Amino acid sequence: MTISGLTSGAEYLRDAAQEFFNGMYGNPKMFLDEPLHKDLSWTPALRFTIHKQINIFVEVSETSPYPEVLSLKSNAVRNFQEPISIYSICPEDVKIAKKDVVKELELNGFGLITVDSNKQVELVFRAIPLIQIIPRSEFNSEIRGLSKIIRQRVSEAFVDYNDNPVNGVKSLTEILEGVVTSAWKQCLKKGYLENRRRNFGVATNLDTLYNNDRFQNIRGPIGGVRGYYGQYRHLSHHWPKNKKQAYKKYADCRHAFIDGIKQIQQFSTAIRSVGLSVRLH
Amino acid sequence: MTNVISSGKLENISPGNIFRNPENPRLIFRQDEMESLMVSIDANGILVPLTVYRENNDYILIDGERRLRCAKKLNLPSVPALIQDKPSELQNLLLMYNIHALREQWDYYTIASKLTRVIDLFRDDKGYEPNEIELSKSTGLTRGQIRRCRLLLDLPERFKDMLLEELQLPKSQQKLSEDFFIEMERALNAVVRRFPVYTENLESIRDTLVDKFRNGTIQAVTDFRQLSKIATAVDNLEVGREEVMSSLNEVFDGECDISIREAYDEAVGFGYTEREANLRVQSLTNFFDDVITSDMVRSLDEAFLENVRNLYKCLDRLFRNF
Repeated sequence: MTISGLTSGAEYLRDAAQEFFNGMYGNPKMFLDEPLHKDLSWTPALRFTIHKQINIFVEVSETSPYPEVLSLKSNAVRNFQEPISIYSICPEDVKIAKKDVVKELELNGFGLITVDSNKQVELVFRAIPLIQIIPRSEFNSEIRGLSKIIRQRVSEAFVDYNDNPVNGVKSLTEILEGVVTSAWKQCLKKGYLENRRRNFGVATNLDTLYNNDRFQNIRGPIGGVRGYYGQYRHLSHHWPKNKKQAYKKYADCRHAFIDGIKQIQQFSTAIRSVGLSVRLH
Repeated sequence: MTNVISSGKLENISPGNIFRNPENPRLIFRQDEMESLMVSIDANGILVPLTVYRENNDYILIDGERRLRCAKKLNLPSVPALIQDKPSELQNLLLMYNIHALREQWDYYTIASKLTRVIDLFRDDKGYEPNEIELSKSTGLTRGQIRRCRLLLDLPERFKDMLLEELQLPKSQQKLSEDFFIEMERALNAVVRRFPVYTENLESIRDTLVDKFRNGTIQAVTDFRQLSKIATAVDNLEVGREEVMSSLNEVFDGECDISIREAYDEAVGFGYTEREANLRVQSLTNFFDDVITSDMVRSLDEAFLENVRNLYKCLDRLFRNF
């Protein structure tokens, strides 16, 4: 007689989740109460892999949509070298009774499914890999100080990011390009650059600005944007071959997105200091 | 029960090698308690060893299921455990009772089914069936708990299955609890003791009561106490048998949506309230006698006297209506 789950009603919820995900992902190989790895200090109620690269964990919870183990182990999951998305499954009436907790669960990137008294399962919201997650509070803190129009555009990119991190980084890089191009055009108009120097592309333009003595005091931010642009402009859309590559890709995207906001912030401050304005077209 | 466990050897064992005790009643673990324990174990480890016995290459749990569940959830590589000698079947069963009776995690149904086995093994061992006192002494259950278990044991199989199915659901989705069946059986016992005519329809009566509970006609499991009071009204209130049976028939009729509370209020509610009032009047009369006899009238509180004057006026109005 094996022991499964933390509480006595766990199996009922776990079985409902299993049936639901079997239907959703076409019967992937499911592991019940089996740890993923000896170094990860958590045994989810149910786990399986999708697209050969993302681990899906499901944890059951009878009395709260947000089981304690999710908070307890989120750092361990984030630091584990494979992408892991986590769902909580709880009775529907528990979800209805604890709306604040449900919101918190969603903001932290966890997914939620519920089971009603007729054993009907409903997907409330999807989980995203924990390594990809940028908490809303962190995002809000990063965009503080940006102009209204840039904040709006960055927020749109954040929506893209939560849906698909590569697309999100791409959207953010485009915003950065827009800010650089705007600065470049202002420089041409103000006669800071030779007129024959037309628009050669963002990388070349940044190099030109960097080497222009007029901007020697803001070489740091210009160099930062140049380095960022070189590293993340063509963030690969290629499908990772394994879980490790997938983890690295998600981690890179997360870093690229946060770093991208910082670059926009620093570059904007820098060009303002030399009499240029921050515009987006 | 003494000398069952000899002093054990302490070892670190992989949680994957430890299995539930087959005699262990199904326990109810509350999520908040389990999560507190899990957080504590995550921070400090397992401070009190589990107790197990060896079975071939594996270990069977005697005590520490909550710690083991937490250890598994936290994917701990090993847990400290005291390894004891393998107990006999009866010793093992009694150990389970005595360990868990102290912690009030009872799932009555499973405990009740194990109780039958205890009685069988006790009979084999001692040559006679244990009485309630002996059962209580050896299992650690109170006599009240044993009686409650017996009510569940006496249920027809169909209803036991119904209950078992219900117990698999998360707590918030359980409608038919063990308490429901225990309260219902107590009430039905009270009914058939006075009205044996219902014995042959007991199965369909149970079905009706289950349906009425599920659809909310019977609102609470405690309503069954009022059903008992309707039946016992023939003794306690000297209500006519026909009148009582008429009320019971309405409750037991699936086509009639009358609740126990309504039937109670209609048939015997006033009678029981009057009976209770009568006891209070007797008690008050005795008090007044004592006050007068011991010459304590002047010591009575003014607020109390005001209430007594109001009572006097009320009694005056009452007697004028005769």
